[in-house]
Amino acid sequence: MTDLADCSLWELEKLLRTGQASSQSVTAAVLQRLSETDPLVGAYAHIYETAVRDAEAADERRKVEPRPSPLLGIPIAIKDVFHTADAPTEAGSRVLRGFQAPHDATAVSRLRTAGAVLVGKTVTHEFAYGMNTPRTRNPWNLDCYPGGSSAGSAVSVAVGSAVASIGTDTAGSVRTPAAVNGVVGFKPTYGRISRAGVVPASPSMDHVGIIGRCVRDCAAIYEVIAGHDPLDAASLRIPINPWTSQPETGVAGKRVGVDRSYFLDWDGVAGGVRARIETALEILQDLGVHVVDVRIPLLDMASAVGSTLMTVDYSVWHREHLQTKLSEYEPGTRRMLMLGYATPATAYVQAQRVRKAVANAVRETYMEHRLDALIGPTIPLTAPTIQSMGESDSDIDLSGLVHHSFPANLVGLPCVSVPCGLDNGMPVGMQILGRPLDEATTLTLAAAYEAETPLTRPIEPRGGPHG
Amino acid sequence: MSDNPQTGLDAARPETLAQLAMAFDGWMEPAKEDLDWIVKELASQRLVWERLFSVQASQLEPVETFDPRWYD
Repeated sequence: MTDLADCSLWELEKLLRTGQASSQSVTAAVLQRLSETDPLVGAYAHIYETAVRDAEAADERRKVEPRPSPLLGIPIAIKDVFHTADAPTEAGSRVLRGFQAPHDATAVSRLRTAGAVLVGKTVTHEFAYGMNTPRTRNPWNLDCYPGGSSAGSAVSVAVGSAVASIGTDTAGSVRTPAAVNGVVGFKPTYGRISRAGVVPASPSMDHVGIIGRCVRDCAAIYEVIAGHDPLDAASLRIPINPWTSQPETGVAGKRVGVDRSYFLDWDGVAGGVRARIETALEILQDLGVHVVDVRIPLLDMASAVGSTLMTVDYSVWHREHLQTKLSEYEPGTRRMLMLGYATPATAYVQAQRVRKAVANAVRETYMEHRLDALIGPTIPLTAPTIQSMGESDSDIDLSGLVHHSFPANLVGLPCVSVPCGLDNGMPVGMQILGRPLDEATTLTLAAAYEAETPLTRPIEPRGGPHG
Repeated sequence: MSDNPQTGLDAARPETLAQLAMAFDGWMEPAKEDLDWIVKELASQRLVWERLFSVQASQLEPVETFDPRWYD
């Protein structure tokens, strides 16, 4: 029998629904996997001792609930930036050491209400800012970058120490770790999922996202945690369209745009990554998708806009902590936060103005070419080694890691990153950027491509000092 | 050498910008190594800002604020 820790959420849902497995057995398998892998990959900051008890409760609830949520009894991990009333929220920082939130974040609360079993809280770069090197390692090669900032959330799914996880995405922080760890990352439209109770980063770009083993797993969680929340000022009141109950897979006639100059021919794109995306585009064309070459004016400003806004936005929220706990920050984070205070207001305002122009250009391109989505690599390269990232003469431009992910955050587009083969043995991710509010088509395109490629099963940590 | 004996700031030195910016906020006194890093980074950031300001004004619109709760 397949190890339960290797199954997708929907495979488990069926086993649970038909009585072939219990939440207790699933949770036990996941916790066993966690004990085997976490000493190597360091995905978790906090492990819930209540998971077994919650699994028992889920099994009891299933006996009396005729049509439970697909999340009932499913072990899920949450990034340590979501407030939890029963565990510390430290956001990877000494600044918040021991901080105990009085309430759950809305997304966490909705997971609990659906009956999900919370496995633990996963490691993040300090305040999801990506300046430090957390202890998390990439299971495909333990010497390599696990992605950021939702590193632990992606790695837990990649190794099977969670069935799925939630994270946050301000500049690709769900999609990037999903891509480099060979799993699916989904960030819906801005405002779809409440950020209430989430440690903020850059509020106009902050999204909650989901990491799963397949597109449909991500969609299942999305449908549970999305929806209006009066506690988040940006929360949309527009109802979501349930996709998992009738997942479309037909994509013939859909139109996807490729801005080659931005996504494929940019200097930082590795040849192997470009080749995998070209192959994926051929697969989509074989499915009847029209691939259209487009050129989006001003898109090459996305990184300049995003980095300027982020630098200042982060600093504003941290002002009080900087005044009282300056020495508690990691040096890289502290300096980036200080840099925000040295950024001219004129530059910040200009960045906002250019952001709007970029958003207009993206919208007009979708309209002109009647696009359902844009497609490109999630990040321009596969996971570099951690050592190479820390070298002062490294060829790796860290800002290049977010070059491809910024547009979806600036414009608020729904976006899915799906595994797209390997380059030199390391996973490549392809992102599909849909039209705002059209998560259904975005998920359909991703699922159609995914159906042509094998489902990514959890892998054993390999390589590096332990390999 | 400082050209302002009261503040110790030398307008010709590159770190002046960073020191002034933080001093304006009235509370932050970065350590020497932090200031060195910030000054170096500001040089890179200045290139980023120049790119932003290179966008033609005709392509830009005023930034508006829309709060969807007006229509709740």
